[in-house]
Amino acid sequence: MPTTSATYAPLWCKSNYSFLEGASHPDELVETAHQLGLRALALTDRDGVYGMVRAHVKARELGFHLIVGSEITLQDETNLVLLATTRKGYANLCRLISNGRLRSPKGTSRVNWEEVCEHADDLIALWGGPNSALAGMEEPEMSGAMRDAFGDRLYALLTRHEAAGETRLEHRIRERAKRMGLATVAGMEVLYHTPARRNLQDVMTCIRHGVTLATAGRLTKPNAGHALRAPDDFFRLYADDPDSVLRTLEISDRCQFSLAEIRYRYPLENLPGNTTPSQWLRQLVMQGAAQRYPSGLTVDAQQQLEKELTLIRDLDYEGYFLTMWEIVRFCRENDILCQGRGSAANSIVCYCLGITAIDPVSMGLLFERFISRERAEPPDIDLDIEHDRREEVIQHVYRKHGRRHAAMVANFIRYRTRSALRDVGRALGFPETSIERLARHAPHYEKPEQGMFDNAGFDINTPAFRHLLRLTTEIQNMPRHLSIHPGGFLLGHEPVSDLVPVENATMPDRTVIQWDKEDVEDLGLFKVDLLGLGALNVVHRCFDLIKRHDGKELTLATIPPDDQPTYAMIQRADTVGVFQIESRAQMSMLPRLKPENYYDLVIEVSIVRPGPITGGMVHPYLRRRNKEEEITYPHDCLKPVLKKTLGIPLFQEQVMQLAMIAADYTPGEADQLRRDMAAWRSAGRIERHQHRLIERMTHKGIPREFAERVFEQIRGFGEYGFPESHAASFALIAYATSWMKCHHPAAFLCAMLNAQPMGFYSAATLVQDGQRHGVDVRPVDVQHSNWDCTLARQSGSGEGHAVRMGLRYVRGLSEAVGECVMAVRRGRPFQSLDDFARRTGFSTEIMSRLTESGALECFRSERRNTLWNVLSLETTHGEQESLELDLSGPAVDFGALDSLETIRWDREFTDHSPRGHPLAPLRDELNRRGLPDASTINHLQDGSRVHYAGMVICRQRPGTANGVVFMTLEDETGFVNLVIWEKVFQKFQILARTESLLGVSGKLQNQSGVTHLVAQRLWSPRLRSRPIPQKSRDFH
Amino acid sequence: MACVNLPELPLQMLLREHPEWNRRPAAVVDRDHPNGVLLWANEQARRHRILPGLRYATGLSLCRDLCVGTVSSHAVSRTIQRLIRLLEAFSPCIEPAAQEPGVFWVVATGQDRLRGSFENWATTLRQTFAQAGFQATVAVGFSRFGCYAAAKTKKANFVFRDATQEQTHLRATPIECLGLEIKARDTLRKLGVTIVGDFIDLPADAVHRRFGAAAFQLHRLARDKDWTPLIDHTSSEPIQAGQVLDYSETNFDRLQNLLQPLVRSILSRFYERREALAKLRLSLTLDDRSNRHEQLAPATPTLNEQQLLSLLRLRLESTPFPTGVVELKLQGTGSPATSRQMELFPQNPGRDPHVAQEALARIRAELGNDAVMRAQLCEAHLPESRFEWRAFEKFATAQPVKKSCRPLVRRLFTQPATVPARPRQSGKWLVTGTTDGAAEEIIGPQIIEGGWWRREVSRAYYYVRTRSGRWLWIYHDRKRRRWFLHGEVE
Repeated sequence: MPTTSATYAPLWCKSNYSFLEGASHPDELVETAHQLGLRALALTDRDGVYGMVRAHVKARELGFHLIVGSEITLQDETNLVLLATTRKGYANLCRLISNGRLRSPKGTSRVNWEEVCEHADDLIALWGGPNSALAGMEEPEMSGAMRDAFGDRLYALLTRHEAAGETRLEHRIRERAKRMGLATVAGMEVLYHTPARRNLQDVMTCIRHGVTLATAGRLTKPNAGHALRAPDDFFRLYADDPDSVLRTLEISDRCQFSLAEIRYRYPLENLPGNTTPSQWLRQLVMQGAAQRYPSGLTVDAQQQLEKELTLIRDLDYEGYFLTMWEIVRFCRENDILCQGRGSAANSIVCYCLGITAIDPVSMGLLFERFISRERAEPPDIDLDIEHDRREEVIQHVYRKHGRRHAAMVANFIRYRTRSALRDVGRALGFPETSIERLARHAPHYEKPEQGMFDNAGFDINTPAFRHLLRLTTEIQNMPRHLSIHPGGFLLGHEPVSDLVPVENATMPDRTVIQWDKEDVEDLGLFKVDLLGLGALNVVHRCFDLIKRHDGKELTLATIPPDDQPTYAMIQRADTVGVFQIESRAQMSMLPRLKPENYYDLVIEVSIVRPGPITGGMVHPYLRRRNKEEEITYPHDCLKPVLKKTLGIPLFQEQVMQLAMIAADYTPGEADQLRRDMAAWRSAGRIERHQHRLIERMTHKGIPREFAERVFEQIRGFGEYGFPESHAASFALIAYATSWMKCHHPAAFLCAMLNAQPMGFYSAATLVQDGQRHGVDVRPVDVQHSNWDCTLARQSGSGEGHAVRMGLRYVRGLSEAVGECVMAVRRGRPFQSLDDFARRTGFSTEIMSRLTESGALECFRSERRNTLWNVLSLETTHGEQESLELDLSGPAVDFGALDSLETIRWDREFTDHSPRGHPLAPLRDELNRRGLPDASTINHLQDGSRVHYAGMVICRQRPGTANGVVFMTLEDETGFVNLVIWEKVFQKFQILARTESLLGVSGKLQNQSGVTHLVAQRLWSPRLRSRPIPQKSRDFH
Repeated sequence: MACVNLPELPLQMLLREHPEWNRRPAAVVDRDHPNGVLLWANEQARRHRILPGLRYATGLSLCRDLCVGTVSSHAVSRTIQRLIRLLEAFSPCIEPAAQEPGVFWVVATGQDRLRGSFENWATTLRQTFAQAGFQATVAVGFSRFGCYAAAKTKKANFVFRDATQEQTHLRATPIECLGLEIKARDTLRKLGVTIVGDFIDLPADAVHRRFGAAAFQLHRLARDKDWTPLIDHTSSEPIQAGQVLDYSETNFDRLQNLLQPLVRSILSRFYERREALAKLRLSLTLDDRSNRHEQLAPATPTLNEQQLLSLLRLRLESTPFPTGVVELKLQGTGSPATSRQMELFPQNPGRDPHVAQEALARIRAELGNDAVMRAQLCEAHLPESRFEWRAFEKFATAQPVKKSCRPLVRRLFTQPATVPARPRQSGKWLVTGTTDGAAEEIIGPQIIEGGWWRREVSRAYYYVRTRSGRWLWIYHDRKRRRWFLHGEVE
């Protein structure tokens, strides 16, 4: 028997990245192994290396030996454990897993024995375990091939979990190992780091198989023998065979590969004329600079350019910039709008390469936020691409670099409280409806607590609910399955599958790596983010419409800057549909901030964010801007940082600089702060800076109150705050869309309608807003409408365009039907309803939808009578191919729709009505009841008591507003913004949450041109006829 | 003619089952799933705008305290049977609506004279239902459809004085009250047809063409063009027969002779209903006024008189009576008969598996219904949970599989027996006392831990060979800290 100082290495360990199988985080396994004094630990997740980076980071921190491996599933459904001894072995492992994953449906992997043997170099194979071919009833056919391929790197793996039937299997493995001349190695299948996780592992097994604990039978493990064992315990388990235990150490000594050995090279295509990447980049940058600065580079710009190019060369980042340039070039060549966002806008190189549209020098943006020599971290360029065409760009990247060299970054879907309650509750056998009720009482991000059981009417003292609470807490933040990052790409000079296994995503034609964004960052790999942006889609569509109908060719760069009518419109908060500044909160800020230039827009975009709001920075900034308050600085050292924003920190960069200057954060600490802000949903990450920041700032003489506010702002930024560069990029699009709305309202409306769903408002509100701006909006009509909305020249007026609503707005109509209408109409116009029905051959269903939407009104028939007639179509169709309407039988007249009914039908079947607002026909009645319209309300004096009724178009309950609910009500003349204090909301919450036509009594607040109605009472207006309920857009 | 409506019967049933939900928003869902559709919602739920047709998840977003449950069709059928029994005290003829649980048509003719007035009759009926925990509305009128419309729309009982009043009410009834398909109903609403009167005025053929046969049928009913008599619920009821003796009979043969005409009578009535007897309940009243009940089931539903008599004799002979029989009652429950059973001279095949089934039926008749069982293997870790006894129903065709080697037989004891604890030191372990000698070889442990979510079990199993050569299967119950003998290997 070995001494107590003896140790061993567990060689078959699965973490929770073997989705729904392992019940411990990789770092928990590493940490426990380290505490137990184990020599090493092999992480061998099922068909992947998903959790390897997490384990690697923890092992690096502890100085612990982590062995890299994986449990491979073969086509005969047996398993084999492979461990990498070298970098080459790791590449073989990744390639082998990629082969299996790419040929199998998502979530599974199968490789064959020939492939295993082909990839055997520098891999150790542990053959054994209850589900291995070596333990099977039949003699394994591939034993000779395996012996040849792996040689002395093939071991027979013994496993003991004190379960029934093991002895027989072990006997069989030993016999076969002896015949094949294989050394045996002692092991066990580790699924959790402590026996306390056994219950969770059972539950995970149930979730994976879709069964309950009561019906799981032998799908769950028979005992808690799958936890990491202390050395003494493990030697006791194998007391009869200590040599096999000691062989684990021999194997761990052979496996010296570490993820730290991964050397990454960014892909470089063939460069023209034997130029080096550095020369080629400089050449491109200079060409771009000549365009960006037609009158020549300023001294500052020249210096910045040189500084950046030198740093890029020193850090060997040229390939990354050249790749981004190539993607942007592809977009330009293919008429796809794109624009860099985020910290890349701090770089003049990006500006000159056309990746970003902001001049960082004139804006005074901080380059170090983008790349820093101290941080030595890969830069992160996020490219916004017009939403509808992003897939073209993604496929271009695949084509350009090849599937072997490009794959998208993964995103692990993790358990949050509600999803955990649902899955764990199902496994425990609770009725699903009860669990759903409980889930509604659970917080989104915080851990579950006892109170939610009480609130949902369940008794937490019953054992079942106690199990539910405990297990739901334990499973929090564990990965459930692999998803795909919205736009992150990993590109490599070497095949990506040599770095990390690649597998199929759910979306067709997408491949994804097994690591997420944080893993990629931890290993210092380069990532390219290609993101979709609906606003660019609108801009592009609008440019096309203006070009086609007005003959003007516009780009983002040629839109006239500093256009005063545009800023006047923005100052009036007339910004429905405008990117970033259309929300209720933004619209309330605009008349107060009164943006006069581009930088004001940058501030506007940034200021209505949780960061500045929770940090209490908004009002001080406004007061200083309006010269109602003196501009002071909490400390002289902060003047350079806060000067631009009048002494108030508004941007993320300023917060980081504050931390560095006022709290003496090192660049590394500041970067950690940035990361912790980004990971705001992980509880406690930001809080660990609280004490450090506040104490250091007060120590430096900064008032504690200011320090605490800065910390609150940091916390708020974590939830959602903008860096200045990012806000600058967005402000550019905000200005472009404002300009288009101001000068080309019809084209802008048309583009917005065709880009739906997007933005803050529904099509109905956009149409109403357009009409209030004098745009002639014409209803859907089969004689004139295309699938998309179109512009039509207005007759009589000479100039200006009307918007013709497209068939896409007929609810339930497919694009194919719309195309069919257009194709059939192209020959000659439809003569009559009968002609339309005969030539298109549409079914009753389609004809009904067209009738109900009013698209057939051109045939001078009332909608109800037409509907009655088209309802007879189906039988005719069923019997023969005659497509004529059956108008035989006694005529029935259902009467015409009145104006309110017409609007109701429009709204019900097309989600909008160009024929009027639903409240317009009821205005007389509303007036008689003393209920004014929105336009009147907005001109009443501050403090007036008013009663008002309007359609609810938006509800908001921001987390930063202490329970206050904001609602926007609309009538035919405009909007009324409601403020509902929590008490009032609680009292009238049923009405507030469900009523689409809402009556409000309250007091008017009219300050700085911003009108709010502070509700004191909500009620349901009793009118002779009610408009159709409309869906409001609700945000939290 | 009268119609009794128990509005939202499944919801009423759910709230009877969960009285604690009476003050909370509650609803019936079609399935136990967040996407289950709400079928009925109570007043509290409606106050939150939670209406039938919404998904449960949507309902929860309106009120997160919404309690829901499912009500199975089986439970509804049972309740309907119960309600029918209540209604039998009020009418000789009752027809439950096939598509609408909770709606019953009853013949009310003559009830005004029995109960003073139709109003009294309806009130008593309503009270009876209320005592049983159900809310009901009763409408008395002249046509099936007119009563139905009134029972569905009126909050209180209603008696029509004449047919004109009924027609007027019917015409003004909203079409929502008709059992129209939702799509047809919505389309009619779009056309401005919101009341039954407007619906009736539409041309019948046009309704058929546009809305299909079901709407057409309803249209005819509403116009009173398609009168059908009530179909009494009793048609599928059990059939009974009995005889009271004026003496106390103790002889089995004579009892057999007495039972024969009763059996024959029941079978002939089943034959008329094109049914076969599936179950037979025999109730005997003995001379000492005690009762004895026996339940028999033939192997398959049958119309064979001899087979039934034979089963009856076996059951009676198996348990003799202490005293004689003074009354005999037989009650048969039927099921649809096969065409073969309906043939006068059925052809028997050469090898008839029914004969085997009949033999088993005889064993059950003689030894009790639990006499024939089979072991069913189950997936579980605990040995005693790896099989369960289930009633043997029928022989399956044998499909033997060749085994490569004969498996060892491990015989489990019904109740594990306590054995002495294993000595902590290396002393002798006399597991079964001195009979088999001390344990000479111990293999194990194999650990079974489970059931933590209800009753935790933790056992360490060992195979123990005694000096006598027996292989015992023993476990240490770690929770109770005791040793048990669970079985033996043969």
